[in-house]
Parts: sequence; structure tokens; C-alpha cells
Amino acid sequence: MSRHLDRTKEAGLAYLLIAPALVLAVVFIIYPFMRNFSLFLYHAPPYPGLPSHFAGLSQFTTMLTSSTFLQGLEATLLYTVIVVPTGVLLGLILAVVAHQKLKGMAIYRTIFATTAVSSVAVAAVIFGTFMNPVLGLLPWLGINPNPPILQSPTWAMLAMGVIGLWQFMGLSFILFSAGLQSLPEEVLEAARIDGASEVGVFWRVTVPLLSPTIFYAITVGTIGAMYTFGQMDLLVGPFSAQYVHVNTLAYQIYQYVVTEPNPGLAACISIALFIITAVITFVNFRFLERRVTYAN
Amino acid sequence: MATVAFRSVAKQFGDKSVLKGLDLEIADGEFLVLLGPSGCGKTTALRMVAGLESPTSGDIEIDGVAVTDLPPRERDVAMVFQSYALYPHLSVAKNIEFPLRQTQMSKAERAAKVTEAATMLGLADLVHRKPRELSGGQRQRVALARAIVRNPVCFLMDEPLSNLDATLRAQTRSDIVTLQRRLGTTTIFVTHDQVEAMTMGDRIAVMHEGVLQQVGTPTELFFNPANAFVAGFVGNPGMNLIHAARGDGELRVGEQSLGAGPATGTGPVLVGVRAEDLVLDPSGVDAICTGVEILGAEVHLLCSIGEDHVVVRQSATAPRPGIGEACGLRAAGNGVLLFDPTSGQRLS
Repeated sequence: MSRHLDRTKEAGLAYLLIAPALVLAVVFIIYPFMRNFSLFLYHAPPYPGLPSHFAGLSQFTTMLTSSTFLQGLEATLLYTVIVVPTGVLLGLILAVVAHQKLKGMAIYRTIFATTAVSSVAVAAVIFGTFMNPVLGLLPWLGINPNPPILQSPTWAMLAMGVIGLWQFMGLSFILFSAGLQSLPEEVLEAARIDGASEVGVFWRVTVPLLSPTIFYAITVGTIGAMYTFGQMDLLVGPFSAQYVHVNTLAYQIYQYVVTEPNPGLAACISIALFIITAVITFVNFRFLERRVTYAN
Repeated sequence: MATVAFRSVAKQFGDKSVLKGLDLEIADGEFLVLLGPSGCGKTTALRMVAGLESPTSGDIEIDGVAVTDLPPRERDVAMVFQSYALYPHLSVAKNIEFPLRQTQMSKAERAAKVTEAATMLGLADLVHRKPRELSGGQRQRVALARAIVRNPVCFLMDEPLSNLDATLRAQTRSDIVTLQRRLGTTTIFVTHDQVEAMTMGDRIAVMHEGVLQQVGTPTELFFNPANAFVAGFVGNPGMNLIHAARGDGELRVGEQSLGAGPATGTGPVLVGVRAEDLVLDPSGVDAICTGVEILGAEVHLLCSIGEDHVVVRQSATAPRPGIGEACGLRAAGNGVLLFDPTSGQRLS
């Protein structure tokens, strides 16, 4: 009997301890997720208080065939392709450079890592200033295209990509720095003794040993890139975004909630984005993780 | 195959001097063991031959040529690490093949060499496995196969048996010796385990605090240690070292006789006597039995004579004192050596 009581008490304590995390999960993850499904199925009015009606999948099918959605999908994928592979590669290169035992490296390490913790607003202000057609650094260097970069359908997405890259590179740098520090030094030494040059050691040993980090960086970078809209909103704005092809799906969700309320459509896009991200992540796991070697 | 030589090699890490002017020559085809406690500089010395550390001063020579400034890949040496340092992303076959891929060798030739090395080490059935799918002993053999496959001028082994269990260690010990004899490749083997050193080395170089203490065959080191450190470190158990005084052909602890001493000389000495040469004798010096280790046919009695701790080896069937009981000890036989109590250098 007393054992039974003890167990009940123990279980009570356990629930008490997980309660804060559970409350947060319910409020910020589970409820919004469920609510999103209900918005997806019901045609909600743009203003509160008006009745909503069941729409089934009709909102979703309409969205799938709309040119805005397809253009948004294209922009999202293009942005991801610009940011992720380059960010992974540059992060790796910077981490390798910073891993050298040279004087003053701590300063470089801090500089490289800072971009990861800068907010998108900061990044947007910095790059916005660079690209400003009147006051910016680029015009001062003689690069002043017409129309200006942020108003050009050709260059705007690249500019968004550069900002995303600048931010992601910091995260990628931190991940690879940690990865490099945890590499078994003796394995690298063995490769040197076995006759490999420094370049050979890098490609044939370091990179394969970093494969779990590369895989993680690609996965996290892709998911992050698929949900980007900050710099688009801050530098281009909702009215030009579509015209200059930077109207990513995440930005469309934001617009359908804030600037031209259509909660049903926002919910549909968010579910589509969720499915697309899930598929890409699954493909990542299916095809990339096979090439990953975990040391032990 | 080649000779290897250390010429006045010193190494500093910051303020710490880990190697103080090492002079040592290893003959062609020799199996030399670098023996010493942790921090004695033996691994640093080995890594210098590999090119993984560079000396602060002095030179490393391979076959009479200074290689001090050459990178590891140009030295044609092979190393086996304590952790085995296998490439975790490569199969056993690819691990063994790795050194060959850095050469101009054809694919067919490489495959033949890999098969030969794998077969020699009993890995033929495991070539497609990844290192993580192997046991410690198997990984060890892959590391050895990777070392022998390209026929280097010298094998460098850094405590390669430390991670193996006792049975496997004894087996691998003799496997490595057999392999080395068969290949005739100069080998430098680093260990802190004097049993490994005694059973494997043609010669043993004993190191302590960055200084080479003595180089010699296992028998020389055991019977003729140059100083008290070597005497105490080599052998299992090491030689007992007892603070005593000599005079009138007698060795004394206080007023009591430990045994016969040299006819000449007086004053304090450190008496070195092996466990088997120290016997229970009520007329000897006073001692207290502090412990008993039963090893089967024989036992080790752990005793203390004043501040000195000694081990007495005797038959398990012989009468022995209980723990905490007093007993008398005497040095018998010809194995008694004398050392200077200050410098530790051998006197007799």
C-alpha cells in the first residue's frame, strides 16, 4: 500500500516538474498548430466577430494553383539554394582558418561568430546602408545599377540571399568550429604519417569526419532558409516583394495575417510550407545521412 | 629498414623541459622499448621520430640522415597509436590501403598488398567492416596491418596494448614480437608497462623526467641497473630499496644486520634487493607485515622497514606472518646492490 502511495506521489511530482514545459508547449506549439488546422478548413472572415464557414480543402486547392503561391515557392527554394550550400562551405572554410593556431585568432573567431547572433533587423540595416542608391557603399564603389538593387527583379533576391548568407555563415562557422575541435587529433596525425598532404588530410579525413556536422548544418540551414522573411519585409516591403521576386512563402504567410488579412490562406500556405520542409528534410535524411559517418 | 638516432635531442613545452638532451641509437632491425612512467618524455621522443613534434634542439636521424625538418609524410615511418586512430569512415580494407593510396602504386598492386597484410593479421574476413563494428583487439590488428602494408623503414608504437584486456594483451604482445622478427623492421615501442618491455624488447631504454637512465637488454637492466630508479622500476615487483648503513662487511639498519655487505667503505647506502632475495629471518631487521598478495604458487608479503616499503616473495606454502604482525627480514644471496642514497647512482 505504502509503495503504491509512494509511486503516486512520485508521479505527481513528475507531472509538477514537467508542467512548465508542458504549458509552454501547449500555448506556443500545440494550440497554434491545431488552430492552424481549423483555419485551414474554415474560411475565416478578415475581421473578428464575423461568422466563418466550412470550406474543406477548397482554400488549399485554390492556393496550389495560384501564381502567387508558385512564385513564392520558387522564391523560397531559390533563396534556400543561394544561402545553404554557400553558407555551409564558407562556414567550413572560416572555421578551418580560425582553427589554425595563429596569433589574434580569438578576435577573428569572435567576429565570424557574431553574425549568428545579430538580429535580421541589424543585418537589414547594415546591408540596406551598403546598397542604398544614394548614400551606400556600393554606389560609392561605382556599382549603382538602375533600377536600384532592391527594386530590381534580377538582383533583389541575390541581395536577400547575401544577407541570409551573412547570418547563416556565423551559425555554420560555430557548428564547424565545434566540429573541428572535437575531431580525434590522432586520426589526423595518422593520416599525415600515412603520407597524406595537408590538402589530402582535409579532403580525405577532416571532411568525412565532419560529415555529421555538415549534415546538421545543411538540415538546420535549410529549415531556417525556408522560413525567412525578415529582410524581405524590412528592405523590400509587401508591395514590391512580388514584383522583385522575393515574396517567399513565409513572407506571404506574414502578409496574409498582417497586411491583407486572410487567415485561411495564411494557414494553407503555412501547411504547404510545413509539408515542403518536411519532404526536403526527409530527403536530406534519406540521401545525405547515408554518407554520414558517426565516429563511434 | 633503417637505423634511427637521437642526437642531443631536447624538447621544451613553454617552461617545461620534457626531454633533456636525449642521445640514443637504435640499430637496423632492432626492437627497442622506450620505458618509463607517464610524463617521462617517451611519447614525445617517439612523436619526434614521426615528425609530429619538432625538437627544441638536437637532431633525429634515420639511416644516418637528419630528418628533423622533414614533415611526417616524407619520413617513411609507420605509427600505431594507443587509440588505434583508424579512419572511422573507411572500411578495414580502405584503412589498410590508405597509406598506399598516397603513392603511385597501381590499383591491382594495392589490392594485393592489402590482402597480404589483412591475411597476415587474420583480418581477411573483416575487410568490409567499418572500425566501429570491430572489437578492440581487431581494431588493434587493423592498425598494425595499416602500419606494415607499405613496408616502412621503422615502426613507431605508442602504447598500442594499453586498451586491451589482460589476456588479449599477452597474446598481442607475442604476436607483435613475432611479426617484427618476421619483417625485421626497426621498431620503437613506447610503454610504461615494464612487463611488456621485458618480454618484447631486444633492448630497453629507461627514461625518467626527460632523462635517459639506462639502455640495455632486459637481463642487463634487471640484474645490473645503473641507478636506483631503474632498479625500482624494472622487474615485477621492482627492486626493494632499503635505507641502511655499511661498515665492517655488514649492512645495518639501525643496530640490526640486514645482511653481508662489501668489505670496504662506510656510511649510508641504499640497499637494492630483489623480492626473492629478501627472506624472513628472526635475526634480521625488524619489519611489520602490512599486507599479503596471494598469486597462486607464490605470495608477496608487503612489509615496512621503518619508512621503507618492501616486498618479499616466497612460496605460498611457507609460513608467513599475519597482517600487522612483526617479523625479521634479511637480504640473502648475491643479488644485493648498493646505491648512493643521494644521487641514486650504483655503488657496487
